[in-house]
Amino acid sequence: MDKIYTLGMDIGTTTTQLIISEIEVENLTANYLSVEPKILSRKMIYQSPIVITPMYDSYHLNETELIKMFFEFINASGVDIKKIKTGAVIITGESSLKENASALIHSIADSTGEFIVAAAGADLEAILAGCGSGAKDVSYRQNEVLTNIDIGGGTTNIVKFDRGEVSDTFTLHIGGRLLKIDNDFKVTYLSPVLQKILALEGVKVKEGSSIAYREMRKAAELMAGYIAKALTGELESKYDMLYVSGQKALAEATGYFVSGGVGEYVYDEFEESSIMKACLKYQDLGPLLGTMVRKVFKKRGFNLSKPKHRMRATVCGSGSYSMQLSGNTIYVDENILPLKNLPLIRMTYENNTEECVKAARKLIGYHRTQTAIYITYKGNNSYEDIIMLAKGIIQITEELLSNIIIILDKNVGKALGQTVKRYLKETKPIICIDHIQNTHGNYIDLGKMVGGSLPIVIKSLIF
Amino acid sequence: MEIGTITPARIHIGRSGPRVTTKELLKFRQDHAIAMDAVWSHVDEEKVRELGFKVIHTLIKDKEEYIRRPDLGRRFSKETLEDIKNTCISNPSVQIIAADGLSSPAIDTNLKDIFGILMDGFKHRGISVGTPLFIRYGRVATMDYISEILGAEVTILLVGERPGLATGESMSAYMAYRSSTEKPESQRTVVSNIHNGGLYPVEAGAQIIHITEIMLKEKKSGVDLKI
Repeated sequence: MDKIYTLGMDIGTTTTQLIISEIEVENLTANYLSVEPKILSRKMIYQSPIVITPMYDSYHLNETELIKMFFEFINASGVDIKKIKTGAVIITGESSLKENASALIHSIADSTGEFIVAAAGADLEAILAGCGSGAKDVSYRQNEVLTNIDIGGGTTNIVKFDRGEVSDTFTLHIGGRLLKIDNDFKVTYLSPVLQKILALEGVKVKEGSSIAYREMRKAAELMAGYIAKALTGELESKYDMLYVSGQKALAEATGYFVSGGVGEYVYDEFEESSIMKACLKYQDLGPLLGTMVRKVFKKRGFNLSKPKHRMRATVCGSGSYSMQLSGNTIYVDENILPLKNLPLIRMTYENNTEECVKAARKLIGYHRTQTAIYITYKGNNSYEDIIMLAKGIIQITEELLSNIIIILDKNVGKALGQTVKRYLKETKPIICIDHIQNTHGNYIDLGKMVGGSLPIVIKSLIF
Repeated sequence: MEIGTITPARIHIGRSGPRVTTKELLKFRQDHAIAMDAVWSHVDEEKVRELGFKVIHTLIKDKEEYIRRPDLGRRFSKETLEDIKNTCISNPSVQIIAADGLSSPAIDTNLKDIFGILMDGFKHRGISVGTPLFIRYGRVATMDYISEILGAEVTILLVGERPGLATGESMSAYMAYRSSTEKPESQRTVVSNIHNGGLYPVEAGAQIIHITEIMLKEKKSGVDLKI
């Protein structure tokens, strides 16, 4: 049994937090019978306080302060930073649109040296939140279709799990901090999208002028209504601007989990006066939005399930679930590890390599850098078939790639790796790992070997 | 109901009154028949020869005796041993043996793929391989006698597993360093569950090559070998 420490840091529109988990991995090299890698347990051993994300102004993260914070948390945890093998630092919600996010996230990822990845991207965020809230596990265990709705400060990330598998994700421009107020109910910030949408409804709000509590209530109620309608596909096309990146999907399910900061106000009932107080404390709409989500969902008969983590869902997801372990019969030239930020190209192999080779070479040519190739293997597992695929891979990488990095869904990695090595005329490092399910994302990081398998993270890098 | 889709085991199959449903009863009989056939049928020796195997047999005369007398299924006649000694490559680094064991279809379906990758893999690594042998009516311990008489370093025995109700085509690979009748069973390392619904034969082959390399380097196997 091997232990890995993993780290998750979630830099959100409103708050920033960090957790460290201890993951127990079955030592697979001692077990010839096992094909699948097994994660025996995930235990959170440190959670930082939830602090307000430091910003210079509404558009710029305070990079110096954040990096300082990162190391303060690590010190407080008492965990040796060198022992942290993997994890993810992610910038969520609207912050990832902020101008200096990209530079910041990479500087944190690089300063740790090891295998901490930088990630962003709305669909990944939605999935990680759904993992952290427990929706994915419950969906798998109970064979149900469940949706997790992570309502943060700037965005609402929605993911639907069908029996444990991600089936849809989408993101809405809805969040508790799209409207900010000061102590005198003066609007200090109003997101342009929210302003336009409210205008459609005849609610006139402007940055700089004051707002009545009753109007805030109305705005929150409308936003909660949009979420409910988006889930069932009833949202009219005039609200299309609410969808981040225009990506739409349906997420009707038998049960709903609500996580994120706003989620705190969905599950407990509060007096009206204390909600108002909370709005003034956070200087935003969050507490009202949570309350309205509860009301709207109740009215529509949506079944609300309690998440394992609410506010900490995304950070728990990024700390404990971002990593996958490969199978244990794999082929790895260890000296080129770890590898970070490799673009991932995907192909499906059935029984013909000609088309694959052409398409893959074109994609690699487009990236002009070391890429990893994900292969959905639909061959017949025969040795002849493996030889054919190996020859195809050599053709794909010829003159284009200096390392051959193959990721497979089916358990044929070691056979394929050995066969590629056999037919390869030059000397190139080869990594051929298997048992990785095709997950969302277009970049991959490969860690160092743990207990006979290779930890990997498939992620997005969209800024 | 879908919990039944994650395992071939007979769970969540429903019932009709106090009995299993007709569909499940028929499925059970079918699987049982497949298991029986796996034990009682014979490996297509022509195909095995085509792959380059030399066919020999143990002291057993027929299947019925094979089931009744496990002791005879482990040993060879003097003539057979003499023949092996005279016609097979001596002192190979690796000796590959296939045996029907308790499932002939396991050999029929898996041998070609696993043997292909094994031979190419050893050749590529410059590891010498002896004359491949196929043993009719063979049990696991036959590998000890063959290893002793040929002086093989690592012996690999590919054998049909006792069939269950999930598949009749499962094969195991027993491996030992200087496999010997003097040593206990714990000398053997095993890669099991080799079939198209378990560990694919090609992948098992790749893993066996890997383990063989370690055995040749460490000069031990079974419980002594910590990988």
